[in-house]
Amino acid sequence: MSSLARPVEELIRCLVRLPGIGEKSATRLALHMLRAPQHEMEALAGAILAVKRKIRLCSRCFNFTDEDPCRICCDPKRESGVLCVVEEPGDLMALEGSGHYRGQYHVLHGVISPLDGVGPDDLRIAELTQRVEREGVREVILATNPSVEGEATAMYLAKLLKPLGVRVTRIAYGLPVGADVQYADHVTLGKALENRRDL
Amino acid sequence: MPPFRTEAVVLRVQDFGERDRLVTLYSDEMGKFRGVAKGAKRSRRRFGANLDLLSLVRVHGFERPQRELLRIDGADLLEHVSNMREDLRSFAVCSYLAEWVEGCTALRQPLEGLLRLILDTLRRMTSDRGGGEELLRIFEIKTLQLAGYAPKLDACVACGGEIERKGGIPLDVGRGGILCRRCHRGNATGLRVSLGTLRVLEEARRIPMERTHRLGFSARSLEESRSVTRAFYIRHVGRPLRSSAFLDGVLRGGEDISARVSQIADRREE
Repeated sequence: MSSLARPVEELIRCLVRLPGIGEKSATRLALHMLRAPQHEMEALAGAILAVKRKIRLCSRCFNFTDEDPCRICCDPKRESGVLCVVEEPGDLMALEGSGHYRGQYHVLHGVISPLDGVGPDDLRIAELTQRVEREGVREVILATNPSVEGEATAMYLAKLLKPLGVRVTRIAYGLPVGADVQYADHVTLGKALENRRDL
Repeated sequence: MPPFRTEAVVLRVQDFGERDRLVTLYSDEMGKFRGVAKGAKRSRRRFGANLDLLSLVRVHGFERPQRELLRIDGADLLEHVSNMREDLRSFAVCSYLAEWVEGCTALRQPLEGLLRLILDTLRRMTSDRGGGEELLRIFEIKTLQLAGYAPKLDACVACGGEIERKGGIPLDVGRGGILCRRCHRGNATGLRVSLGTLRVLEEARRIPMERTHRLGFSARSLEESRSVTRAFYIRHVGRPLRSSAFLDGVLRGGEDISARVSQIADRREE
């Protein structure tokens, strides 16, 4: 590190803080940036600053957005009576990428995790119940991860929402597409059998 | 790198970088230990759901010389809390027990009989009939005892003298036990516990787990013993339990879900 110019060292130090970037990758990226044309790097720096300045949370679904309400919430072509509840904006992006869902979303920004001191009040749960009441939602799809915390959060939400007269469903689980039965763990196989369906 | 293979319960699983998981476990041979489960975050093939909270697993891997973190290569599931994914109470209990054990144990220092105590308590707490809150108090006092953190409850902690066994008996968490009237004079702070609570806590830590169903906790004893065990946990671990608020909420009324639903109904009427 000491053989490098100080600004390059500083850049590597910043890049190393990014997820999935080790020191070698950070050095490779920094050297690439040094060689890249000036306008490309200015565009990159500008894009990073713009994201930090312009992006906020949608006041309805709590997804990241540059306009409030966000484009998904404002889209008249989307089904308004169905709400898909996800843990994080990244999960929403994955579901959107699948192209199979045309309803609205609600981002909780976490899951109930007693070991981390995260309770229901730390999530966007109160806002979810308000939306269900105000927006005449017919169905809430719980798409939290199938981790223990994700399941507990889904269970909590089901207990909270069912008395409001809304249909509450859970995304299916079992073996992923392309998986091998002999390598699946007991819990996954148990769930796959429990959730089997007629063909 | 010496290999290891041991039966352990999973106390905590945290993300570790993009692909791995940092796992904290407890086994009778190795005590509490931490290891990196390589690829556990991305690949479901090697670990799957075997690293769920408080699962009993046969874990294997390698110790790394002069490094605290072990390399965990695999975990075969031996026993898991089947209803933790469907039952909020089980989830809350497991989170609480795991945090309690993690706090009361030091790295690589096994406590004799702790694994069995954890499994016995877990089986009873998460069974269909569901052990009551008293089982948690018994678990807490027994764990504190094994860890050497238990309060002195049979005589004055300051002078060793006998306690006048009537009224509220003063308990000084800082000094580590109950005080006689003389030693307590001028000390207005601290907890007070009833004689019934003292008796039940003493019995709970003395008799084997399989006989603890005979112990009768009154509502007052439950309340007082919770204050005592948690105060001693904080004294020795140095921080309060993060999972206690959620557990208390669940045990006292389904994490106030019914109250929340009523609030929503009230809003509707307005």
